Amino acid sequence: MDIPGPKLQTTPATILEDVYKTLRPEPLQKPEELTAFYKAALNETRGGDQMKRLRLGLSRAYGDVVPFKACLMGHPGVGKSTELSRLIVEIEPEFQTIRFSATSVLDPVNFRPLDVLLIMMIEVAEQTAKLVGTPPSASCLRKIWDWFAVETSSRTMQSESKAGVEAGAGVKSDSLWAQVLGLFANLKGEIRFASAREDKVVEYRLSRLDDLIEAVNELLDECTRLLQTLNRQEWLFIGEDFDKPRMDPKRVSELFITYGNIFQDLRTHLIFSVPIALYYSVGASQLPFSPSCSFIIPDTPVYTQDHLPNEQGREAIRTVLAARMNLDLFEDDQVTQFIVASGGNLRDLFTLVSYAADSAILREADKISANDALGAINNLRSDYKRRLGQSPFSPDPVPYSEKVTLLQQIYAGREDGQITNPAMYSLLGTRAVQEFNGKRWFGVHPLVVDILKEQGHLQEDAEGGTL
Amino acid sequence: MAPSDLVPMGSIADISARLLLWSKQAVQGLARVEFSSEFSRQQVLTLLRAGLEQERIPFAEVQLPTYAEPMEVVDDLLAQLDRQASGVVSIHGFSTAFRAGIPLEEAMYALNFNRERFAERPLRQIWWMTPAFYDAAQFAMPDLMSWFNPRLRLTEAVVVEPQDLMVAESTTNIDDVRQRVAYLIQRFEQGQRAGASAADLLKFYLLPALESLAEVKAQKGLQDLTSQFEGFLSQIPALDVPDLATSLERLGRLYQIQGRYGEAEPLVQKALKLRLSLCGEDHLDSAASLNNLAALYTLQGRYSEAESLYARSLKIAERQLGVDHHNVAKSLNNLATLYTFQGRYSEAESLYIRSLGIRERQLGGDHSDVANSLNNLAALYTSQGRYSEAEPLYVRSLKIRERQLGGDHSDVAQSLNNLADLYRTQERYSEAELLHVRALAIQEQQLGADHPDVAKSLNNLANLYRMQGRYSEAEPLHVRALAIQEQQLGADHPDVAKSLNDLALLYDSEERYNEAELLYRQSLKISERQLGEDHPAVATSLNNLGKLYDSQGHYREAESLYERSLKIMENSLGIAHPDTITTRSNLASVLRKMSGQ
Repeated sequence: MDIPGPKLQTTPATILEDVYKTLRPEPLQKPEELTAFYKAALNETRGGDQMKRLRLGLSRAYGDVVPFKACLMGHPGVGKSTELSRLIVEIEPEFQTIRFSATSVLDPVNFRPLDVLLIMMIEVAEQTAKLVGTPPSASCLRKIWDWFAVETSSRTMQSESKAGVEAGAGVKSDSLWAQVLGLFANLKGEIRFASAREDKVVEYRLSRLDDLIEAVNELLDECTRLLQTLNRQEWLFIGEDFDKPRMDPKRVSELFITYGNIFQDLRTHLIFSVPIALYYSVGASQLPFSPSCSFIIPDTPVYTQDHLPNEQGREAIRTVLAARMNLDLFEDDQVTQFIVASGGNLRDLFTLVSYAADSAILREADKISANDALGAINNLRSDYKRRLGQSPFSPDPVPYSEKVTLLQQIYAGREDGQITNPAMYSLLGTRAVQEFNGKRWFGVHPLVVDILKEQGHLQEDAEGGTL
Repeated sequence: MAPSDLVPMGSIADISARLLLWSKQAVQGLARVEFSSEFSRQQVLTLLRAGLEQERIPFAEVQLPTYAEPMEVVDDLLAQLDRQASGVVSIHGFSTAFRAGIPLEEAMYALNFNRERFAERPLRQIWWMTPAFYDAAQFAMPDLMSWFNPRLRLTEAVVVEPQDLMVAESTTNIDDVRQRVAYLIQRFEQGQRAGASAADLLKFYLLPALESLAEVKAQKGLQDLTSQFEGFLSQIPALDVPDLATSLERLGRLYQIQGRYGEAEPLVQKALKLRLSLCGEDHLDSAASLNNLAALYTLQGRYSEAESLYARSLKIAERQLGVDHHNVAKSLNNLATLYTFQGRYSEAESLYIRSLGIRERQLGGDHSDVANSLNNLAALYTSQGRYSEAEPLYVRSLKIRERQLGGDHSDVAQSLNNLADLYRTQERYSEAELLHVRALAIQEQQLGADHPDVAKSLNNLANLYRMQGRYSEAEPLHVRALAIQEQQLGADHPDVAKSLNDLALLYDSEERYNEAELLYRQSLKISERQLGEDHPAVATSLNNLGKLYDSQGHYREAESLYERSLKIMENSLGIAHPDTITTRSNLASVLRKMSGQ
């Protein structure tokens, strides 16, 4: 589901009253949105267009027996989802995409690797039936049905869950397909509320994982054949949001490392978002994606590593903003103030400008002033400050003093500050630290530079903060 | 609405204007407002409601259930949202929505996971979050948190009068204490004649005697006994005895109880110095001394000095005992109380919650310390006007005390009184009366009919009767309370001033203006002398006296009293406090009457 709010307006806002309609924080998804707002300049400043590489890999795999499998990484708010939307549009002639968000279909804390496989199985079966008009063959369905049938005596479904469970495709007859749809509907509910599931069910299923992979592969083969016959397309799975902070890192690691074979064994194309912390961890070598198929979208720099203005990065962001609103709506050169304070992160940029636009409207002005900018920056800086604190729920909490030391090292560009560890993951996850391309370097977010200066952890005249 | 250049960011005016603008822009969406003061929140809602009415946008308020299972909270919220077809819905009560014992992370997970079900409603929802809830939410439900736009912070501070935070009290009967004191003084004199050292005489006889009186709040007896031994006590600080620190602190506390802060300070300071030199900075005894000095500074209003001492004490306790120790919980509680006095509610709340969590974990959910924490947190919420959140905490605290201490313990009586007071504030008079009557019976039985706490309860009940128009029942209670207080606390005690004010209010209601005026003036004089001219209690007396003149048509006199009262209230309580608003409206009314003359 989209982030709730007004519909995205795809023409640039020319008055402040329309700014909230164009500066929506959600990723661009529809072709018309991409046409209106997507700017290639951004990728040029951050080391090239990774989607081009993904597209190349996919086109080579199209029609081949070896499917394309890749992972995509990037820190929150860099635009991964928008980039994937763009990719989906571009590859549409050859690929039909099944796109799902881990935080929507899975139980982020209690999910198990098998759940991902089950989701893929359910989606491909249901979507093929919807597109082609006929369900997969009875022999295929029977294998799936039988796989679950043998566990009915040992599993107890949670009946007390009060949240709604999505219905299947609504077939009323008592056919095998109807029965399988019923099973799928139950499974979806069970997967979303995995905390209520009995452990013995999970363990029992995992012990028979190979059988299920085989059954799913047969299903995938058949669904691909049906789709190719219909419109010469192949299925591509895109699994997103496995890198969201809410996803339990232990479960994500179990999925991609302990049970990485699921991804290797499945006979389908797939692109999954993987947490960048996992990619930098010692277990990275066991990830099921080869280094040449692992892509990182870095942040857009507004400063160089030496804390000098990065004009190319700033200009690229200005271009993006200009596509969404008339820059004459800012007084003097306030735009640069916003661009720098956003640290190159578009989501933050839109939050800042929306807040300031509201301030200007409330004082009955038609342009955003320096004071409006200051208010917006103070508001966002306060969020950053709060996020620097220690998570009360972290199993491995990092004290603030440790974070400060690391931030100072990163700011100073010291080599030992470039080593990824729990403190670094925590800072990257909250965007206090950003990762940039080129020779790959980390930098401190301008708002965090302000905070460190204010707290006396950086010198008063330190560069790299807001203007 | 005033242009935003003139409106400070995070102020009541700023937040209400931003919410109104957002309400006009979107037909669906989630806004998040972080707030500390319920009074300020209510002000925002009043302004917003008025603005929405002009725009013909429907508005509804949703109060979440308290202490429920996470899915019950989700279902309840969804059901309440479903009752609204469109418009703006203000949702409140997250911090007390979930049952104690459920990890907050798990509870928030239920909210996070159901975010689509909330968001799909064709409504503009304002989610009000306290800072403590927000701090946890940003880590526990980041997906839902990222859906909020705008994300606002209501920072306009409203400082209210320090609340009387209830702590565990003695159950000793006042008459028993008098006997014990007589016995101890007899032993003191015997010891003195036999040549016992001053330190021992102090430690074994005089201090226990004074403490016994303090324990039952027999202020007058305490003052008398202190005066009687003034000469002996004045030599104490000069003594050179290694283990004197404890006695000095005990004596300091006794002076403190009598409001003789200047005399208490050198004793407590010397105790701290002795402790630091004997045990070093990183010792728990030093932490206790730091804590005691901080408590004294708090009473003196020297908040920043108190804060740094409390922080030092807390650090030592955390280092020595670990962050999850129940003594650390005590330090947290003290610091939270200081923050409450300063009106730093959000910081106070988070510390109280942390302290409560430690106590629940370490002592179990049914311990009397847990009851104290719940009580303090409830008092904090009450002072913020968050009545619906305060009630379940008071109730839980009461239940624990009943279970742990028995139904007729004086702590139970305090809980009953606190809860009754809350009900009275909410105009739930019949419920309040039952509780007050029960509390009074317990106190009379347990503490003796002349105990100062009995006087407080008599006053509470009398105030309730006055509000209900039961004047003839109220007066004898007030008169009895006043007599007890004058006898036990002395005629110049701030509690006497409060009782005089309450009795004056009653006479005022009965149109016995001359008698009322006399008492108001007497009350004002005591408050000014004992609490200082800028104390909120002085402002209350000034306002009440003003109202008396106002109702008699003496507008000029009323105007000047209201003005003085308003100035004090704005400075001490803030512009949005209900008392400030009342006085401001009184002043406006009298000015209107004067211009009409």
